[in-house]
Amino acid sequence: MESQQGQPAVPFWLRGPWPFAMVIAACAAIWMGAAQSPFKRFDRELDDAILRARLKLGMAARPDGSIFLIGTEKNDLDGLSTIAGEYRNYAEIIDIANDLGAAVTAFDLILARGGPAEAEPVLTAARRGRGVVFAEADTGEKETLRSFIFAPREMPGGLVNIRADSDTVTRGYDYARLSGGVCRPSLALAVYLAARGSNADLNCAADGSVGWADLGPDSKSLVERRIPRTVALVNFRSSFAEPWDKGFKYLSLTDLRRKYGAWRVAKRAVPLDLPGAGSMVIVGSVAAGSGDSGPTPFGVNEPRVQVHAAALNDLVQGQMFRESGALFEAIAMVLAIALFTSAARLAKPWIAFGSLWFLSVSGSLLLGALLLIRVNLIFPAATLAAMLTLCFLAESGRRSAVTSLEKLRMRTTMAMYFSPRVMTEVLRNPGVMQPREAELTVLLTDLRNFTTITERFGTPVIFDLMNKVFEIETRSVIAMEGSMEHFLGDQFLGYWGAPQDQPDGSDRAMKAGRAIIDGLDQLKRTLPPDLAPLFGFGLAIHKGKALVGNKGSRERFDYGILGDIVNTAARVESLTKLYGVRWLITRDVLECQNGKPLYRRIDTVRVKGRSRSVELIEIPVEPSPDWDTMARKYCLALEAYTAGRFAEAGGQFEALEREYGDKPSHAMGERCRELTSAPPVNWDGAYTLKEK
Amino acid sequence: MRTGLRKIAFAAPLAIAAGAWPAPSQTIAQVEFAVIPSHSEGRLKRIGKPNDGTPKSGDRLQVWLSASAPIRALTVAFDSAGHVAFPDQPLLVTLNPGAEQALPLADGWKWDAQVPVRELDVLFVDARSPAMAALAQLVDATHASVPPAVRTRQVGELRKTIDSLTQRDASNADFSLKTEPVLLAGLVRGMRCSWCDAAPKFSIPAGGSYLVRHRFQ
Repeated sequence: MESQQGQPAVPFWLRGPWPFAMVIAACAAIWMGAAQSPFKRFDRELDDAILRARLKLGMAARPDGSIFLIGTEKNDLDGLSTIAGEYRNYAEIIDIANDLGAAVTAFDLILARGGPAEAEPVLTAARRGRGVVFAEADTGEKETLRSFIFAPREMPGGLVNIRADSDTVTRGYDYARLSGGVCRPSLALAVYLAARGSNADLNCAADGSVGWADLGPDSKSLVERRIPRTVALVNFRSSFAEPWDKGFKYLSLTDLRRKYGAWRVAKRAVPLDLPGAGSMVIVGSVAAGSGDSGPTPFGVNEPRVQVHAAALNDLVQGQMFRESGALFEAIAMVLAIALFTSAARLAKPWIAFGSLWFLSVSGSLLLGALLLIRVNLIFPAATLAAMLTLCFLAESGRRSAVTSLEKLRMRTTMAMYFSPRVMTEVLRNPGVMQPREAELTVLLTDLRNFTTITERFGTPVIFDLMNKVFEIETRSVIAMEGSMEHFLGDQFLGYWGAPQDQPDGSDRAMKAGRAIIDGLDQLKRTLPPDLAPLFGFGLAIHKGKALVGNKGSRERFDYGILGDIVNTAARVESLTKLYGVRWLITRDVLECQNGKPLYRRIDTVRVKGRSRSVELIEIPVEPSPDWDTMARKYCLALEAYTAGRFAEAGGQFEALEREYGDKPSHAMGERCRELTSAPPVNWDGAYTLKEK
Repeated sequence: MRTGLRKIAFAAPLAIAAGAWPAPSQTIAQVEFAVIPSHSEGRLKRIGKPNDGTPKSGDRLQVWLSASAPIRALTVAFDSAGHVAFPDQPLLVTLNPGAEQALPLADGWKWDAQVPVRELDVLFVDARSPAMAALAQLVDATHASVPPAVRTRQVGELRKTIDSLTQRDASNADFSLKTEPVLLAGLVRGMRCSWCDAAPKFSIPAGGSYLVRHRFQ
């Protein structure tokens, strides 16, 4: 896209951060509301990290002391060669737990092997026990895979199906499953209900919840309690290996036997390291290689019984994590992105913008941690952080693009006015473009007979001619590291001393002037015979102070000159026609030359509109051999003129005109005649021009 | 023992009235179990170890409670199906210093061989216990006429409450009252326990509780 001036403009969608932010917000809303976030895995891993950090910081509440894990370890299995022996172990666990006062003993093991004879000790102990829950597995069929499938179902069963996330980490839990039209509780829910004496009437609702009747606050009526059938993240408190002050109480079967035996002998109250009154005991295999372990947020090889225990703990302590909901998440994302974008507009410097991003991402992660730990709310903080990072990257890209476009625009603009070296310096230090007063040397050219050529040869010819002229002038100025004002009609203005200071600007201007004259003379020789006689030009160089800098509007700006220096230069250039010369400079330019060129002082005038006089110097383009002699005579005539001896000076100028055909002498001769007939008052040697 | 309890009962009101006697930090309680055989002719059989003195069908269970300070006592027996074994249970009574409380209040808790009693719990609870109000409400509710589904959950809640109170003060739990296997015989005189002074003593901390649980095979 380009502006009217051919400069690359910033498209509207790059002018502010909102277009990108709106696209990202829309994506976030769609991801949260209708589809799955592509950053969901990071959300889960962040939740894992938060749970681990909570434990490390000592902020994790202890699991309920009534939950007790009994594990069969490798040494418990050593020497067991029969199923009967293994089952006797389980019967012993039931009896011990019962004797100690445990409310429920549950098995995270499906006791499906063996026959009635092997099962009898377990079943007998279970019938003696206060509450026993046997494991079942949902196979997708109407019937579950259950323990003691040959015997009638006497005890409650709990599903031990555990589902892992796509990264194989087990985080969530199905508290109940609707299988074959029957609402079946998980092991954790079955244990919880058995401990409360309400193990029936589970109902799985279509909204994904499971409910049961609990005793109401008045203890005389029932109230329904509903929980999500599936939770995305169990409130894991610790790893299996953590000690009891942080993790679940755990004993191996061997340790259980030993401690129980000691208690029987001591005849004392049940110690805290045994499953006492009301305990909910879950028996599982923790033996290495048993296959009943896998990754959880706290480790890669955690016994599965830990997952059931953590889910049960959530029920007991009422600390289940719940998901924040698609609508809430979508709204939160959009608001956060809007907030970030609003703040980004204020954070202009990169350091402020980078800090804003850092604080936003940190805040998102902290918010996610606080919501999870304090409010039990699973919030996709990693997704939010990713969205804010996307906003940051988009805004960074936008800012870079805008900066690049601005630079390109500036380069394009400046390339029209500055030499490459000057432009490089300017781009390196854009501050020099700011408006300021500078000592400039300006070079101004103007074509002769512009209107006549246009009328006679038409627009295409004059455009072609102008472009060739400007090409020569531009190249000459740039070669001398000068800068240019825009082209106005047939006028061309080059200058030195801005945007950078150029102490040798006058020398450069003179060299450029010489190159222009040579170039234009060469051009003239290539022009058609009918055009060449009409082609001519005047060139003036002037020096003085002027204001330089960017000027214009936001849509278009030019770097250029403001000040009397340009007007004076234009007047001086137009005087080339009056004196019949091609190249005039002013005294200040001459004084600043390192090596004085061939010149002569032509006149001192006050151009129209100015009170200060300007001393005009002619630089001969093609001096004749007797130019020095003529110049000396002209100088004498000019002295008489300056002294107010107009009649004497007029005679000398006329003689010069006759002898050398000198055009300035002709002009000065006429001037002297005018002044002789009407002598000026308070003559100071400077003639006041009445026309431009 | 009884003399001691009477002294405490006499001195405590005076001390409270004087405002100088600090509130007792713990209460001493005693409990004694016995069965009245169906053909006992007034003889009682003291229950000792769990395997001793298990009542037979038609026997009746008798409990005596006493305490050194006012305290609440919950008595409840659970059968093998997990139900409350006797219709008048759970019983929540207030024990007054120096006054022996004989339970049940009526004819005794008669043994049923079909659904044998598996567990008998006596929970002493200091009246200042924070759990007291909820426990009293639950006990009251269990005597109301409610559907079976509610009754089941009431019993579950009762067991959970007993467990939780026991768990909270786990060091005070005592699940088997294992005195020497002495078979005693005595006369029933107005259901007074003539040997109860020698019953084991338990300390109930201020605001706390103490569970005596007797299991029957």
